[in-house]
Amino acid sequence: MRLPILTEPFRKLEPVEPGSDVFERRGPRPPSISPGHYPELKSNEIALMFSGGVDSTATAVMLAEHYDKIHLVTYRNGYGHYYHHRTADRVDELNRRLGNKFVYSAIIIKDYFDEILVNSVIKDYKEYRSGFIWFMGCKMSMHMRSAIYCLEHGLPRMTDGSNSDTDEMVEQALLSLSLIQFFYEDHAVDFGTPVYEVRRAESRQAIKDLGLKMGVQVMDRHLCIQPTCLAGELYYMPYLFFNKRMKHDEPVVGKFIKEKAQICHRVMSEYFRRKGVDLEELLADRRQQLANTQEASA
Amino acid sequence: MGRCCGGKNAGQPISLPRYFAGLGVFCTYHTAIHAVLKLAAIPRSDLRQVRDFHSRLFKDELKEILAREDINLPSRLLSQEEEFCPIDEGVWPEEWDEAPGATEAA
Repeated sequence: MRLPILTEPFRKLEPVEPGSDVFERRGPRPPSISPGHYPELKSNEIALMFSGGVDSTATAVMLAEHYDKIHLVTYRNGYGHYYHHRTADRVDELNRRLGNKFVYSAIIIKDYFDEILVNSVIKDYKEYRSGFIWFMGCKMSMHMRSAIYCLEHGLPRMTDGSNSDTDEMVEQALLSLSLIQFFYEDHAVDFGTPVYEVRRAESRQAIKDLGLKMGVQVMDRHLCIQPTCLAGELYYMPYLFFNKRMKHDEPVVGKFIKEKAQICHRVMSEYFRRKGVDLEELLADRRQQLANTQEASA
Repeated sequence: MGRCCGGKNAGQPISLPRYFAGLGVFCTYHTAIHAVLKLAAIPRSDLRQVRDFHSRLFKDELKEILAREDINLPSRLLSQEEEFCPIDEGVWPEEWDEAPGATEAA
């Protein structure tokens, strides 16, 4: 009998290739990359940061109408972040319903998260005085790895399922998303949030219409369709139980993101350096390709 | 988290039973995680920072919740109303005739 709810927190994750941070992949490997040989841009493909929840599934459905292939990427931060098989199940469902348009990668970002936040979490907490640092640090690790994914696969665009209905969550606040967009821009990736203004009820209906699993609905939430984040549950508990206001002061959040964006850039440079590639050269080649594409379309 | 469960409802009043029930779940969940982190950090030194961060966050948040900071409890509202001191708008206090600081400047 399969009891992932009990066993998964203790499951040892094996990389799909030695030295890789990808622990599950459904789709092709990224093209090989070496100095002077960089991936060609694929304008009909797009990446989506995907959990399998209502918003990201609605985004995936929307993107499937406009793109030939959608790269779904999901992350595990290594700190009480479990049940990623739910995301994989959702990918299979989407492929069955929408004609194999989705490729999937599950990536462990613990090392990046450590470098970006965990190693300095006490110092950061003293400075920023709010638990938002954990979530914003985690999300920035995900965005950083997503930017790497786009560069490796030649994808011009990255998206996620952020929604204005949940903009109380620090990583989905407008300010955070704007700064994240600048981070992607600095790395020649176009970032967007296609369902930001779509009401949650509409997203829910779109998923129901496709006959996808809705999980267990408790109030406005749908349980058991996406990974569980213990830290997230702990942090947002006072807001759920007590309607307590969140301590997400915009200037403080902005300062944090700007500080961590520099570390993210350094981690990205190191990632490509290990592959023998200079990040700045790769970005220059990509910007040239983007300019050529724009010229051709004009 | 949507409109009905704490997001857009931030600052909305809650009942006293809900406050105490929430407090119970909050303390139980955090205490359990604290115990797990404390044990896990013995063999795994990389978890010590996480354990310490969790302890500080738990203490700070618990203090705020016990002080009912940013929590709209009806009993709290009532006590605030009692403290409210009405101003008689018909009378202008004599000492306000001059702008504050004017005496010192002169």
